[in-house]
Amino acid sequence: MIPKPIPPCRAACPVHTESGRYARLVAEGRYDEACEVICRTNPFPSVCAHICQRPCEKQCRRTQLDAAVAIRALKRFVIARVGDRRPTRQPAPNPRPARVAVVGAGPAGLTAAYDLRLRGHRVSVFDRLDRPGGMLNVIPRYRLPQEAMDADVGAILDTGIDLACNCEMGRDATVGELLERGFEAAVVATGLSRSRGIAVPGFGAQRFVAAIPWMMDVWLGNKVDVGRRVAVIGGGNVAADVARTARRLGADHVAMICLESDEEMPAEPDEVALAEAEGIHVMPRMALKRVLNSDGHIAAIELMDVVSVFDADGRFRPTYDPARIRTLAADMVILSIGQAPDRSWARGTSVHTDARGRIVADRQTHQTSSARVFVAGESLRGPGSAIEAVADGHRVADVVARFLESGEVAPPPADEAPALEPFPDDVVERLRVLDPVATEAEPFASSEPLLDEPSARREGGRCLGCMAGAVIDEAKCAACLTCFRVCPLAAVELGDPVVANPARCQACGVCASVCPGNAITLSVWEPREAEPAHAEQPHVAVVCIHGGDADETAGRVVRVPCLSRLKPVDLLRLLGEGHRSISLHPCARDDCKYPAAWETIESLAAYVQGLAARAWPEARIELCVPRAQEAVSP
Amino acid sequence: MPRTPKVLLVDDDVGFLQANSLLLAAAGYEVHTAQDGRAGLAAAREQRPDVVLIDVMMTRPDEGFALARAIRADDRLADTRLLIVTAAGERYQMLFEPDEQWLPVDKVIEKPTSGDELVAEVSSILDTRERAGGPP
Repeated sequence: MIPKPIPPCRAACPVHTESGRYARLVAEGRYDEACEVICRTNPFPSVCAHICQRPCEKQCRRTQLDAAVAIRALKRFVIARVGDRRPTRQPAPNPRPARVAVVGAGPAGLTAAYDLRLRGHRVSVFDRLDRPGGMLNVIPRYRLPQEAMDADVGAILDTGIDLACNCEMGRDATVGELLERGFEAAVVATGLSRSRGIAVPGFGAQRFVAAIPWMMDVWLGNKVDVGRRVAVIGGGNVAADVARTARRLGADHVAMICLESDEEMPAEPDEVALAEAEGIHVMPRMALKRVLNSDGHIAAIELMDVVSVFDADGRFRPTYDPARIRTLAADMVILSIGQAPDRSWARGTSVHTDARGRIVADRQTHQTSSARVFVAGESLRGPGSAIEAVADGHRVADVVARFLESGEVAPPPADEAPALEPFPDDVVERLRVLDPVATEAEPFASSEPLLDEPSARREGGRCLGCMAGAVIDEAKCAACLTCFRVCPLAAVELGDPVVANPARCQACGVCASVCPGNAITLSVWEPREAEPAHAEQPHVAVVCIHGGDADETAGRVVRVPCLSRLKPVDLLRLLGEGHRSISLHPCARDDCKYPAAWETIESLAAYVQGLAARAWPEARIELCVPRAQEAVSP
Repeated sequence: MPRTPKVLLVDDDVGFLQANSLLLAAAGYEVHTAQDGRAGLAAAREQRPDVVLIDVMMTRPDEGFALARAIRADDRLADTRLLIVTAAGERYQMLFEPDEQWLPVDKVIEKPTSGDELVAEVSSILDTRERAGGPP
């Protein structure tokens, strides 16, 4: 059976965060629930709210229309808004808790530790640095504030995880010793903590340094040296961070020299743009040829042209034109040409390495040649993003938990759900007609300020609700084809049974409100998890999901796609359930997608008030004007 | 009877040369030594060793890298295996690995390393050469 597709944003996220769901919850002002959705699969929500590379946004189907929903900005808004109220989780009772050692307190190691702790195991984390965070510590604080990292790491450790800092495996202890001392398994996630070197002529002068130790010194507050003219060698995100950091430390001239062309550069385009905006001189298609030294100090560097970076098979195999030389004055060289794992942890273990000294481990099960030692994160997968490390932490924890519980080693379940396909062209045209705003550029494309509440709700409302649309219950459907006639996106497909095509449906809810058989549901109509008892909640607010606003604390809240689509019986049903006061909260008249909606709602309210007087004389139906509209009304 | 394989050690640390010469000789190798890059290149051309073990930071911080490139550029030494044995990785906090352009060697071994480990590395690299069909 082919698995049901999932929204492309969710499919693209390494931990499959339900981005669309939390975007819509933000639109509805349900921030705590949005935070719960974010934290469900990601123990580093604050970190990702700042530095995630946003694979979700790159796949957002809204890009077919105008620009992606600013998902990371929404996450940042939610995390800031919810603050200390973020959901906490407790370890599950475990009748046979095992002791697990995790080596490395970066995103992969801490995620693995967190998952294993939540399964009731006793987890100790060891790290060579004096603080947790691993390679997150080399990300500049102007991109990742310390408080964001502290919030996530603190929440993880608060589940009851022991942390031993300043403890380097292979030097202060060995993984083998840990296993002898009673740890039943070890997860090693030490990341790519070593910078690659380059053996160019002139290597080894003063201020010829590697990016990672230099950045570690800068951002851990140690003494650092910076030149006046700094050449950063490399074209990745770390190189961009190094260049911007050198500039902030007072370098007058900073060049970023990389083999790749502008298009091939591995750094995120917006990181490069920010670097250039800060005066960094980006020099693509150039390679370091030699370092010209004077009395052991760098005087200049020689660069040569790059002919190509990749061979015909797409492998990294640069070729140069040594005849085309350029000399660049410089007094410091910072190498940022890639990173490699530190394998010194394997000393004193039976873990096998290959001919090149690389740790041998199964990429599916994470297991090394030592049965109780597992590897995860960048040390297993190579360079990746923080959220990819988190995802790998989840996977290794899953494998190790099953190993501890059953003794079996098996790969974690594969991600099989495909991403929902792009919009057919005619749906894009139809959506443009329905929503003229969609022709304008998305306002947060180039910069990412912290959204205020109105802009966050507006931005969340831009989510098109992929896969949250109509589901037609075959048993109730009378095939009357009302839905087929009203659907503005031609999403209803006739057949046996009648179905709504999720590639076209955008959860507007028109079909659900007109279906005479009540056969259509929308997953976007999320019931509250803890529905209050009606007898104790005489009041119910019926709110338009497109922008209606209600006091969350006043009673039950029911959200519908459009109040004008309600039938009198819908409101009478609420009275029948025990409510005695109904407030109706449509969206603002100017924002409403349906021009005649307000008149319909006014007459609905009056009509139901008249009907209710016969059965429930005390019942009150009130139509509430949105605050925004009130402000502009005379 | 196959000839005794020749090993050339190039290092400015005399103690390192003496100790490892003894161990390699005891393991059955003919051992030659040099204390800097210039002497190392001359010895390589003269002795045609099967393996050269090269330190990096000698008179100049990049001297061993330059020696490795010079040996590799000499067609008469095309069959010679090259091992870099260095503390430069630790000193500069960088990881060095073989690359065609700047470090055309067979392997990089990080100091500190024991004599036994060095003997094992030499033996292993000669085994792979024999399997690949090179001279004994």
